[in-house]
Amino acid sequence: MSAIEDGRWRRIRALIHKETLQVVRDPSSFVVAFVLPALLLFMFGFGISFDATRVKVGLVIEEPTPETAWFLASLSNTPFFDVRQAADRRAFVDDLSAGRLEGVIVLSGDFAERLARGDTAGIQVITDGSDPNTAGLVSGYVQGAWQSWQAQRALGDGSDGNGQIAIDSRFWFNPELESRRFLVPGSISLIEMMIGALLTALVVSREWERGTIEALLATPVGILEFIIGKLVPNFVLGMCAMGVCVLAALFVFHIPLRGSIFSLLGFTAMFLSVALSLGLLISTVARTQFLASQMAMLVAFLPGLYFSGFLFEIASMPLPLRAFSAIVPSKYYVQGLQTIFLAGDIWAVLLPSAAVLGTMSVILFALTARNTRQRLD
Amino acid sequence: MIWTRLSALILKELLAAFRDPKARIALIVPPLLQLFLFAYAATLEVSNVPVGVLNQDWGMASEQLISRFERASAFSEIRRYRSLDAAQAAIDRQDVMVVVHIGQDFSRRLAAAEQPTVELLLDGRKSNSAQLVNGYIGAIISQFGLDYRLGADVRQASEIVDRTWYNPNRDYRAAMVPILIATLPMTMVLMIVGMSVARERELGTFEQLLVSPLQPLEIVIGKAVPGLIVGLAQAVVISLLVTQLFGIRLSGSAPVLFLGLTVFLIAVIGVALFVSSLVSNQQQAMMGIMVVMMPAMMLSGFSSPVQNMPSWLQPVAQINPLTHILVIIRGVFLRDMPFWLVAERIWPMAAIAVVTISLAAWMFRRKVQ
Repeated sequence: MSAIEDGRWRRIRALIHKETLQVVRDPSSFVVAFVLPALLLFMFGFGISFDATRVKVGLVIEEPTPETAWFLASLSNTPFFDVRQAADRRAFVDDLSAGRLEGVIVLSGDFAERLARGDTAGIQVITDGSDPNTAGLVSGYVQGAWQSWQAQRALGDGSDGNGQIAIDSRFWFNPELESRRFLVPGSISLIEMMIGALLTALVVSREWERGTIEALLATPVGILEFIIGKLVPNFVLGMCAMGVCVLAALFVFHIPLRGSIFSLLGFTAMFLSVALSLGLLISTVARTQFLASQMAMLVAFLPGLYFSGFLFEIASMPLPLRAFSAIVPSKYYVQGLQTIFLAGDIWAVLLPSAAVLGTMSVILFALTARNTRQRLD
Repeated sequence: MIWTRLSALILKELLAAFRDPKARIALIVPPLLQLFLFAYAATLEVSNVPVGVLNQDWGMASEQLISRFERASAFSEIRRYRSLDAAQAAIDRQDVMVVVHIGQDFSRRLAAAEQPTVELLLDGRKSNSAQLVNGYIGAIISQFGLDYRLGADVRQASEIVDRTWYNPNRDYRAAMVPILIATLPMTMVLMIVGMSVARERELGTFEQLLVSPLQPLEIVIGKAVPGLIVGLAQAVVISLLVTQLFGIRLSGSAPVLFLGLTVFLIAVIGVALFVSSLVSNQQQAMMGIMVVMMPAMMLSGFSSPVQNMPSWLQPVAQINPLTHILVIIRGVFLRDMPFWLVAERIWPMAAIAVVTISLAAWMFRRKVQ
């Protein structure tokens, strides 16, 4: 028994050694493992932001009065607006059309007069619907500025809130409302998916393409040993990339880590084993590098981008797509990552997600083993 | 003479791109799949989400307010919690994104014309969606307060009249789907042009091309024209699908859009040729294309506006042809952008095309010596 076990360990060690050399020597695996992750993390951290921090708005004041000056001041005093002023709304039409302004606020000529008379004075807000997200944020900001202006006016009048309902919004886990805080953990899931699935698919499909895999399988190496030999070096690579990502998230992007580092690593290991098995499965189906890279993009990367819930809201999608998202591993990983980074170790989220990921990796592993064996016959 | 040489080269390139059936599938299926995924999945809108309610008030007013949430189309259902702890746990578990906390004296203070407070607890793990939900709920509560006061006959001093131009319903599909007219052909052109030079390098036939009577610039043109034909054809097909199938109206002029797309695709071809002049095999080309494509997609205003980027990163977006064509597409589709504004965005793409194509031709010539 011990002799058989010895042989098995020796073979696995030799295989891991060979695979490691292969990964280390190939510049393109270096690109996949380090350059692309760095690029992606950098772009999600700096390039993508839903936070319209300084909105460029045009303020049309058709007839300047102390009231309108007051309104202008209350807009300029918030950090949200970069206000330009004109007397006629036509001055801003081209700018809005060219996308140089994100909104126009119009105070009509009778604004002060109506206020003085006690009539309802209208403030028109025009937003650019070709970017619906920013349009929504801009009208929200204007609403907020208008509310505080009104509250100040009410103070000046000496009247109280007059039954107005105050709304006190508390954003937990991310009170500064930085989109970066959920985009960076989300992009880590894309990076891990890419290393796990794309790199593994490329590396193994090259062996199929070149025919070296037959040579390998003709040796005493068993299917299981073969798979473990392929997985271990890529697993190590993925964990290294994770380390780089976590350091960058903490020290470059200043994302808090409220959970423990152990749950982060354990959870990542679970996800990585799913991604690696998926990559292996792709390589046994595709068998050429070009096809493998295409399939990895389609099966692993795109669902990870669209259906993981970090960029697009899954609840808003039509039912078939919502159902599909249930079998996308990235969805569970993103849920877990966002929770571990921003909220802490909440086991009610982490344990069910980890259980799903574990089941997925077992199924994918079994499928790969079966596929490889069939190919051998 | 030059025309015979060129047309032969172009014909050869077209054949090379479409001969392999697997490659044909890889060029046709992913773009279509992306089109449908994008149309139905890529939304930042929030709808169909459950709302949590923690109501500690015993009066009528709070129930009237809650019934307004029930009727709002953005929300799927109301989930009631009995204590703050239960509400907190529900947010932790991501059962709900928001809990509306109505305090004990809500009805009393509202009736007494004092200022009652409603507390919204939101899950900041998804701050963008949470902000939108915050806006929806805020609007419902304000409207409720307004209606309540109207009953008591108190006039409001001023009001906000909210208008959205160009896309009145702020429809995501109308704003997002036309963008695919540029991004999908870009992906395909990068692949076709970038891989074709790399394949010749790998097979060693590129040297044969270089020793033929073809000049480096002619080789560049021969590699570029098939990419342009295929890219424009795909752009036209997607435009038709976008306008006919998804019913998104083109408000501006089609020829202006076509002109913009042509210049854009030439710029993309220039980038692809430049990348392929640096690599020596297909795998490297593939990696090179990925390294170019991902930043091009993300630093373009494709998923979030360029203005939101830090100011030191915005110049990078300006040397990205996708940034300019996206402004043109959104402008021509939704805003009926006048030609002189479109021209402002065409010349930077033309400049990118001239620079990258000359660089590629120069690299090819250098390889000869």
